[in-house]
Amino acid sequence: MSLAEVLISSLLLASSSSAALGVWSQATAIWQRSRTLQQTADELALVQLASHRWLMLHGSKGNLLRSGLDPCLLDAQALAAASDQAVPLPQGITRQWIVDSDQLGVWQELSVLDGDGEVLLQRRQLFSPAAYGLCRS
Amino acid sequence: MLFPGSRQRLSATRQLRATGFVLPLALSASAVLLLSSASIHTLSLQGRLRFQAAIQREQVADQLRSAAQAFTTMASGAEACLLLWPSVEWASRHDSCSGAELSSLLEGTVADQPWQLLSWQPGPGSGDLRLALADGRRAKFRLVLAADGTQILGISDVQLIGRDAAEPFS
Repeated sequence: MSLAEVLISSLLLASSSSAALGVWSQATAIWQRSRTLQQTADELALVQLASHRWLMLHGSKGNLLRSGLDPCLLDAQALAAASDQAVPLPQGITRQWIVDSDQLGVWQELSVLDGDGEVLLQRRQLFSPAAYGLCRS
Repeated sequence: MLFPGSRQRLSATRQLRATGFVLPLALSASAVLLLSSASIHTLSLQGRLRFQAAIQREQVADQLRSAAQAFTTMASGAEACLLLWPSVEWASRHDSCSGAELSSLLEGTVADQPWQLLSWQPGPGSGDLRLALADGRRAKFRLVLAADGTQILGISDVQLIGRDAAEPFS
């Protein structure tokens, strides 16, 4: 066992350990981020499902339609107020109700923003009053 | 009992072994470290790809849900009476529904995403709706119907379905 061999071996081990540690920390960061995003995506899916179930079960109880309009249309403001009470949002999720440009219904837009206000995740679904029996003739 | 010559040979062999021991061990350890970190990195990337694929699948499901909601909007006016019959009979029953615009139930566009009706099959108290997007992805929904069969009361969650080999690609 010569001194040169020990030196070369030490250098080799030190550099490979350092490289491996770097890759491990990067992999851990990716895994952690994916896990956080997956949890957030699950929360978005739950909110969307809860909105659907709320409209199915209680849509007819509140006054969610715009008055005096034929065909019947959802009132985005009334929907926003009622859904905030009935389907509260977990922290970090924002919701917008947007009237469809072709009057097909109202879009529920659920978003998760990062610290800079960039959209990390978004789910968007159209809701029609006709699908929940709110347009009874 | 060893002869002087044998003792010298044994000592030389030990020295040779000791000289070649550390470097191969360091090389092996380095290879194990680098290979294991590469495997862990690949696994984490695979996890991220799986997550992205799941998100894309959910977004397609959202588009199909939205198309079904648009169908219910279109089926709530004069076209509601067409819900009484399967979609294959709509062309022949069209005269029974005055003012109904058949094409609005057969296809449409939701947020620039075209959809197409694959089939509508009414049953007692409910009906099966099958829709497809322009890229061929399709889903079915169960619509709850009022007693008169022309009023939609509820809609099930989306159920993604595969392509039927008998059906032509649209």
